[in-house]
Amino acid sequence: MKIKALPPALRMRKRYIAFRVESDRSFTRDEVVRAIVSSALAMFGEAKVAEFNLFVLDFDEAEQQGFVVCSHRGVTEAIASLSLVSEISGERVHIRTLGVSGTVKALKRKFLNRKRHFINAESIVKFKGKEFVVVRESGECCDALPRDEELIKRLKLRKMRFIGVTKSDLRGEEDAADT
Amino acid sequence: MFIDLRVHSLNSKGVDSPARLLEEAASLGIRLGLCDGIAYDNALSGVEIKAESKRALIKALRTSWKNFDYVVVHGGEAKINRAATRDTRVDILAHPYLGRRDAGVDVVVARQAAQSGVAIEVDLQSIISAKGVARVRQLQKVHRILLLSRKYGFNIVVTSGAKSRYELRGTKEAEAILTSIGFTAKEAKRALEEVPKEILEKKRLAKQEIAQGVRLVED
Repeated sequence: MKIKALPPALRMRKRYIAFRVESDRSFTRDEVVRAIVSSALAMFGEAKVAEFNLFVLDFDEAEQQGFVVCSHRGVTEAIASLSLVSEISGERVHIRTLGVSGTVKALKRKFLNRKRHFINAESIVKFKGKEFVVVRESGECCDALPRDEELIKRLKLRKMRFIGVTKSDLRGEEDAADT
Repeated sequence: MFIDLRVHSLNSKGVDSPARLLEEAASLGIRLGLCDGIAYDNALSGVEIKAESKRALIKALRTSWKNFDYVVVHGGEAKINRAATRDTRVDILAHPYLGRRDAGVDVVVARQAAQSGVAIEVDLQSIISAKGVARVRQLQKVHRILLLSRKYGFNIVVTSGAKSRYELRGTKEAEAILTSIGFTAKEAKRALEEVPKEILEKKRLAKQEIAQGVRLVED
């Protein structure tokens, strides 16, 4: 015999939270799920996580975005768990919270509709008298690989690969303070 | 809106250009203060004074306090924490707990900070990047600062302490982190938004002073 579902009034009131993983490389679903769950467990412990029912439901590897579900009382904790992830597989990341919604449909319509296309480029540019290789760009933003030792060291310390610049930087519109 | 006053760009300790950080901040819906020791035209600019001694600190303050939108002192050493909170020209004492086993804020520092209006900084990055026991220790330090702030009434200002674009946090995210580590919703909002606003306003007025305590009021 199948047991009956909970009466509607007693069911968990769900909230879905959309997120996007921002980093210098792409991650697999597995890596992301593990990172989020262990972040939640480390911060809040098993008892609390069971209480606010955090689960990673979906993660799109191409877009690097997905959503988690939690109880309506645990939204703050869920957002905290997401934003407390500092690295995945040794790479610096920021799991950006895009928005909270009560249904998957609304969540997808509101927050997961925008695609973020990276154009993979390979061009050598000059910025501040130093040479960089622009690796990818998205809108105004460009990520570039530095060639000088000092910057590479700095990036390594931060567990990153690319420095962030904008197209206006590369056009040479330097801010007044630099001149 | 979160006003994040301690962010480092490529020009000091960071890895991103100022323009890129501003771009990222805009998409996160926060306001940035670039703490590079460079006076930018298009962004809030602060200076972080790293002094070895009290004397060096006072000397650095004398030359730089009027050139920036706010002044941050690199805390951590007990004597610097004390000296910085005694000086009304200082706006923020950054990470008083840096490299210490304790919070770096004691009753004396707390009283002084309340009296001279120096805000004590808690950086999110120190909580985010720490793991396990290290994070527990860091949270204990934050709790100590919160406890003393409630008693003595000095301001806590929360910053990201970011040195890269991935270390910035949005308003909601920062609020969520703070409320889940023991800040009340009101305290979190104050530390993220109101205190930075007050700091900037205080500095703006102080720059108009023609002598200590005397300000030229325009009609």
